[in-house]
Amino acid sequence: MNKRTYIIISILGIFSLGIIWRLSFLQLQENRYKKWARLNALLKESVEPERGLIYDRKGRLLVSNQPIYSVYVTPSETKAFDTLALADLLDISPEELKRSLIKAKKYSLYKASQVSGQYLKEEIAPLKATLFNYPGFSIRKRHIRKYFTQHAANVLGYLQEVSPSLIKKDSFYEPGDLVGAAGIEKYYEKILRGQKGYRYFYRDKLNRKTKPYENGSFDLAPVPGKNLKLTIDIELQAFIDSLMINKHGAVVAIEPGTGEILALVSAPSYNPSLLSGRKRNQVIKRLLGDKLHKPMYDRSLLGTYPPGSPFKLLEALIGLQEGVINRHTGYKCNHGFKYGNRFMHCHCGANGRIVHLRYALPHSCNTYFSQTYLRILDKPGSAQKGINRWAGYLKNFGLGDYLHYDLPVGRKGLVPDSAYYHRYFGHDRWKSMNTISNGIGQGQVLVTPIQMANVMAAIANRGFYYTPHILKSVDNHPPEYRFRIKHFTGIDSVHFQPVIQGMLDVYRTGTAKYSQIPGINIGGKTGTAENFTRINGKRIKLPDHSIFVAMAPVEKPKIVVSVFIENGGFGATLAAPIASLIIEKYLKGKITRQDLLDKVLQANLNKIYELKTYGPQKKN
Amino acid sequence: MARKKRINILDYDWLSILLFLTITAIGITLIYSVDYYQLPGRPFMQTHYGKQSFWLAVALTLSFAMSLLDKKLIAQWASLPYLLTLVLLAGLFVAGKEISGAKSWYSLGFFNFQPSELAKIAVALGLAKLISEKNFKLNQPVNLLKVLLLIGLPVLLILLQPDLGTALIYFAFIAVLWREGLPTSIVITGIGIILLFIMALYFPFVHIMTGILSVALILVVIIFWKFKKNKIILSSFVILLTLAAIGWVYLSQYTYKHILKPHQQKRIDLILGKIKDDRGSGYHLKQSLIAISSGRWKGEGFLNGTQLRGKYIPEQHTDYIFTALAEQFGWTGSIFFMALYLMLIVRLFQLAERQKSTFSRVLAYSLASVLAMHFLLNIMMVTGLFPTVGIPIPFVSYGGTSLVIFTVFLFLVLKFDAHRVEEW
Repeated sequence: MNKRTYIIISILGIFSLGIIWRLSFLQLQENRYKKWARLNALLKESVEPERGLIYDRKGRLLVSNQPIYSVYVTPSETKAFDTLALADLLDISPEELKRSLIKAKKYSLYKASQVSGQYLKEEIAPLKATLFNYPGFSIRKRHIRKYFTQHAANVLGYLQEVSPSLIKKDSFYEPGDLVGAAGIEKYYEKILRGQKGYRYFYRDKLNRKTKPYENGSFDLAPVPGKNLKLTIDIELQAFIDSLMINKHGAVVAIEPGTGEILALVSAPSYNPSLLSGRKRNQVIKRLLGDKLHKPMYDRSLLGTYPPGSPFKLLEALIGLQEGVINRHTGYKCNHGFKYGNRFMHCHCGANGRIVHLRYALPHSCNTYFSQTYLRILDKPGSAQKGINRWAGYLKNFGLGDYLHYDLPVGRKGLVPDSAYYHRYFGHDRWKSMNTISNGIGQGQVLVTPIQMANVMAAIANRGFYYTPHILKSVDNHPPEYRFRIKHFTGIDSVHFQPVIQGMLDVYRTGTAKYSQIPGINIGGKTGTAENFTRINGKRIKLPDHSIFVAMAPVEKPKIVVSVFIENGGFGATLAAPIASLIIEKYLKGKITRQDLLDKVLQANLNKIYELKTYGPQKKN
Repeated sequence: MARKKRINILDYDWLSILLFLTITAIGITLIYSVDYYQLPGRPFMQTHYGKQSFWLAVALTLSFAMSLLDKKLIAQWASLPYLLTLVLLAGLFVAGKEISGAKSWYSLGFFNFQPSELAKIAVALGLAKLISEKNFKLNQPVNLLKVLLLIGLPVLLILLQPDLGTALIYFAFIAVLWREGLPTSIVITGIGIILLFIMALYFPFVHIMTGILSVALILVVIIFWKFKKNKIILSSFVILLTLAAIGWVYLSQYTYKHILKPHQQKRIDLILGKIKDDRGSGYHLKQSLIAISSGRWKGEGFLNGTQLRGKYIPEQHTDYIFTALAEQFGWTGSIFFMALYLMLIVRLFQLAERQKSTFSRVLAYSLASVLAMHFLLNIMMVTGLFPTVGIPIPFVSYGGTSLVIFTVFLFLVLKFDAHRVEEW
């Protein structure tokens, strides 16, 4: 045989001997792996990691963890016992106890399952003394959330016991674990929950847990969840909550230069602490059953309303960009104008004069904007093409679709296009005039408060927005890169100037004259959205929703707000003062117009809401 | 001219065939034991052992069909499989299916086909044809380049899938080349470069430089002491080599630090074992070691074993099939199996050496080397002696493509061996 082949075979032999030596070490000698092998025959207990804490943008602690105690049962270790007595001791019903036992047996005879949970330290003490009478039952320390604020429940969310389907989907969870079910807790669940650790124990003949295996040297330590810093300013949030007392609606405040959400208020809301603890399930039932207040319905993200007059800002921008209007374009407005055989009413006070953009914006002239809308639609030659182009602009501002912020709920709103109207009116059986209400924000367009705030952010930035987001940082790392991408609206920045000027005028001479803040230039737009309801089969008109959008300071805005007050009447009545108070609080730190503040705090719309929900009540 | 002797089945090396059948049977049995717990109660053709048996039947049929071909015909058309392989490998980037992060498969409905397996026999055939050309000398740079290209091209395509494990197998061809005349110095240099590269990723620059300088110093001392002539030339050569080595190390570290992206760096660290991954891929290895240990002297017994039962090891019917053997049949079972496999490999080397033509010798040598590489790397990986790369054991691990290709390869070699007394 060739010499080199001998060498190759020898090398093969050497490696093989090495392998044999290694196998001897692994299989014939006592080593660590043999000990690991036994692990699979031991009792493995998971160690709960600490859930990440949540702070506001200034570092104030909002949510942390507190210990609670739960009663667990290991079915294989139980002996016959008095169900009624135990249920009484645990403060649950006997049926609940029986159900928990059945669930536990189904999950595993040898592993501990939760029977009832979330007792505070005081509640568990008497249990500890008597539970030893019931073999198989033990007490485990777990954690629930502790809230340091009564506000921002819609943002923070709450935890819930993990469902069987989620346990199947994600092997991280075991029965009895708490998982984020709403808000930030849900969206960032994977970051907040950390990683479980494990402890190993010997089992005795009866499969009971005895002493730790190898002094715990094979245990794996849990990894705590990461802490989150939110963009919310909890002081501002609390202040807005106080302003919204006795009113239903939403307020969204964003920092346009970053897209960070400074405040996200839905009114009325609830105290987040209510949903942490043993009575959680009862409280949730009660809150969900409150049809009058609907405290768990987040109006800031889910409430869909017609945008009303603030929509005219967008009309102006699109009109300028498309070139169908400019500063000198004028329309004659005589309390409105005639189109076809219909009449569009207008209360801008022009009374027969010609209206230009400079006047039309602060005085909210319906004539000007509906005509501009018609021109925009008819520019490409057909309303079908025009409306799709128009819809395209609106989508660039974030309307008509999810904004893709970092909270788990949202609504798309509605931006009608040609396909929509083909269905609505019949194919090709409509022209721009049929949709004229869109021009004044009272047509088919639907928006959510956060979408309007985002539109304001785009205007504040003179042409682009950052996706609004609630997370400021995780462990001092910035959030996902997508929140730092500029989304351009397709409107040249030069066109924003006249619109912003108009918004300034809203405060100086227009509909929000009485909400000025000394020393700060605010730009805004009032609006109303009509609201109807059915009572006893009759369609009744309720007070309009009160809408206001604003930004300040106009030169380089640090905050934009959108305020929606359900059935609040004219925009100037409630929404504008509220927006103005919020801006003052944020920029100056205090309120100087006590009378305005009092007026807002005393405004009470409950009677209207009761009428809406329950119908007319018999007077006695 | 020798008369053409009628060749029949009895001229085929019965020892190889016996070993092959035994090893394959052991493989199917092991796969069955894994299936027993991981896929209980399935119809035969949906189990892994069922499919493996099916593919064995296919493999034997194909081998029989191939054995009817004339050996000269095969040798003539030897470049065809190679070119086909290149096309198939390149086509993966367009039409390939991605499994476990690598685009290595074509999904053909009922089964999946892996071109990198086909490449093993294709490269062997191509190499055999190339080297058996008249007056082909491996120490000529042109020829060396041709060979490098022949082997390197498929390896590159495989590396890009990415499939590091399979690419590693092709190092086996170094043995073939060395046997066929590749100068030892080149082999040593090549190995040295690779070793230095790996050390560069593992150790700090200063350490390595110290090491290289020390070695260089010792070499220079030896030169001046033992050599009478050419001291200066040899020393300069050593110094040149030293500089080259240091430069290469620096280049490697620079590439790692500044050119590779963080996730690529992490991947390398993981392979080198610089970071432990107890929750991820390190988990497989840990479970494998646990299972092997629990085998002890005689094993837990067939279909026994806590790891096997507990289904703790994913991929146990492929890369970790040896673990299943070690857990159930213990040290004695492992040694016995290794002995069988080594016997097959050595027998193939023997058959290679008794070939009269270069073509058939290179073919047989390639098979023996590739099998040896698979064998060593897989068992070393499974026992923790080598980083985790996905390499199966031929004939034993589950895998239709692999089983068919290697069986055909084996019978091809045996055919050429049976016909070795013939003239070409």
